[in-house]
Amino acid sequence: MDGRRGWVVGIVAAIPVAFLLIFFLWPVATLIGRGFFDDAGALSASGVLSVLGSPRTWRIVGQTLGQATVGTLVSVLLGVPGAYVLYCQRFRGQRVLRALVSVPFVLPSVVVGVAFSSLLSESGWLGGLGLSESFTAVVLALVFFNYSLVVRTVGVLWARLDVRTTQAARTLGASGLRAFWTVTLPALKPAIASAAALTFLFCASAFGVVLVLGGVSYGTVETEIYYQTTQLLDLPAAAALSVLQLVIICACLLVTNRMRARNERALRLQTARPGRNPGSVVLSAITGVTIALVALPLLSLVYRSLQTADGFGLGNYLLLGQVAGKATTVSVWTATGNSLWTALWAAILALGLGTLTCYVLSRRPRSPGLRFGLRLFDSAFMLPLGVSAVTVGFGFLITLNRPPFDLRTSWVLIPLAQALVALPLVVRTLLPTWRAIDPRLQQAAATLGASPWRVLYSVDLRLLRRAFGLAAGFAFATSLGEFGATSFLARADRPTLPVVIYRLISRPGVENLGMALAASVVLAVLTGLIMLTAERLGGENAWI
Amino acid sequence: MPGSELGAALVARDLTVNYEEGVALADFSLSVAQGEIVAVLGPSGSGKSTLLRAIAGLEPLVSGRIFFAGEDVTNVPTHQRGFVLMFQDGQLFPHLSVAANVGYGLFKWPPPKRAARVAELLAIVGLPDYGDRPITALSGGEAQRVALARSLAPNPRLLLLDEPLSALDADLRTALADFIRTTLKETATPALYVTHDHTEAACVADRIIEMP
Repeated sequence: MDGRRGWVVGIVAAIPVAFLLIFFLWPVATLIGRGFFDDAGALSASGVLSVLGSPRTWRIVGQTLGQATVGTLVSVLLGVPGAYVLYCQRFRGQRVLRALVSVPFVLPSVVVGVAFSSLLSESGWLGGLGLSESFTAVVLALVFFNYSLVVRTVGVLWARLDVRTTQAARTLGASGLRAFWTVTLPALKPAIASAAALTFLFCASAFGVVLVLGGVSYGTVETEIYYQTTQLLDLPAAAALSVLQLVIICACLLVTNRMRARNERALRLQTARPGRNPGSVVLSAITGVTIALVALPLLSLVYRSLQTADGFGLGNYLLLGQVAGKATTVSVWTATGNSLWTALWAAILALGLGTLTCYVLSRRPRSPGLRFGLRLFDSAFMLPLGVSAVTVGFGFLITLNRPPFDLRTSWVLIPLAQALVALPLVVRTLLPTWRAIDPRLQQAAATLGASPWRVLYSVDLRLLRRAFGLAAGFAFATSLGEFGATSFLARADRPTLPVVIYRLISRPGVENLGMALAASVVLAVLTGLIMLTAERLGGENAWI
Repeated sequence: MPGSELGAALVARDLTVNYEEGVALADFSLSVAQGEIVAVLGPSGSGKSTLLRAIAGLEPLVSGRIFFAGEDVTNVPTHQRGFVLMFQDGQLFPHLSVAANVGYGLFKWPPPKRAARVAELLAIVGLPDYGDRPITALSGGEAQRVALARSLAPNPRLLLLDEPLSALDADLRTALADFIRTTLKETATPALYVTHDHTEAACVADRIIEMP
């Protein structure tokens, strides 16, 4: 019986693996390979060595790691109190606040960039602080993005901790702080570590937000790759930087995987017993201020989008129907249509491939060899999460432009790239729930006469319906806001919404800025609506 | 013909199952006659549950053969064996109502017949009006009675019960043990009943096997 099922699993696994090979490893490997050949086609490391020898490179690597480290630290320090307040206490309006803090995580990076620059630029509410195009501005935006990731990951576990363990510590003479330090914190450590590792990964590979906010002086490896390929056309340099980025990301993934394995084990140990926890003035105050700070850029974005040359009004929104001269060749509404259409296909593709991947990953083979193979398979599907989206986009351009895949002029490239970026999110959303299904439920169904296929659709897929809703939302929202790869692939006459927003904001003129702000609001509202619908379907769910 | 002991429903010969931690079941043999209830008694870790899972086809055998009514079923997949396993904690499907749980194994039956069978079984286990309720609204004893109804609904050739009452309190356990015996005898279903409780075994079974 095991042997026959093994074949089925093998065939199912082959489809996502083939996708990953053709549309991820091949383009990325080709691009990296370019760095090691000179113009005559001879093997040469001189291009790479000159990049590695340049002080500019190491300044940028330092900046990338610095921004990611500070961004992660601040996210964790603010996120842990937030987790307690939003998940362990009970108060009116808690659900609304939870929804509010989770908005930034799915916001397109370009929108976050525009929102922060509207807040921090000289004419913005906080323009007096002089933070425009600064290290601090980038870090603040990274924290804004990842705060909810920490809150959710830690909060979901914290709510499930048995309060009686802490109470036992208190009756043994421990103060509240000591009980937290000696009992609660060790229990939360896997969740905190896992959230921190993922936050670091996202921070180190951030692109759109850094491009918009950092200006020329505060770039990361990711924006530098973009700069080298699009502005300087220096492929060997871009390839060398891609290799560096790959090394950083692989190190992050290694740590993340370790943390996640520990987290999944720890979660099983806890009794699901949410209890009432004592309120804390200090933690509530910290969280209140943080939430206000999270809301500020969003409010600023909406407020500034309503400011026009002749006063307060909807003028900027009325411009969205027009073709805005030099900046774009199509109206924002046309670009919105393009975005929705490509994101729809990307989401369908990501959801289909993600389902096949999770089906394979949720199997429980007995042989240690197969189990090792599954772990490799698992890691392979996390790679697109970290590998520079810019590298993927550029790799597409130089590999998929000739047979067997001559897609150079096809819009299909965009949903393919977006699906690749969304795939890891789909897998991370579906897999924990799928793995959490008690195998004895499937066995009970089998002894009642259900064939393996019937077990799959009458038990597994039925129990996963909510997780599917959430995964679909993530896939759609991520594809809609994807900028790194899309910026390479979108044709001038068929741009997506994030591409148009970037074009608008990088050109001078009050009118362009106004349209960029209004278009950002449109994109944010669309993303919010998608996630709201998905949350309805998905319910409360830990993100990893 | 091997395995065709006179009147035997189930014959298991020299079953051996290995876990990574070591041998879970070594060269174990037993038989169950037509309509007979056999209790398997033993301390925890003695391989009782593994035995049931191996007979259900949920554990790969290192060696040994399983026959039913003279036919070798060793390589028949779980869902085609017609042996229903009732788990210790019921394992009711949380996404289905009580009636849909009981009717789960009847997917090949025409809907009117299936509905009648579900109603019949719910009446037998004493929960006639429970069909539309969600699983989460059941008490421990009710959940196990629904699990029993679900297990009996498809008329299994053999019922495997893995400590079905061990999660319940003592009074309920005695009452339900009697009830299970009556029901199995009425339907003449042969059964293997795993437990660690001597009283329960004596109450339910025609014959008791002790595992070492």
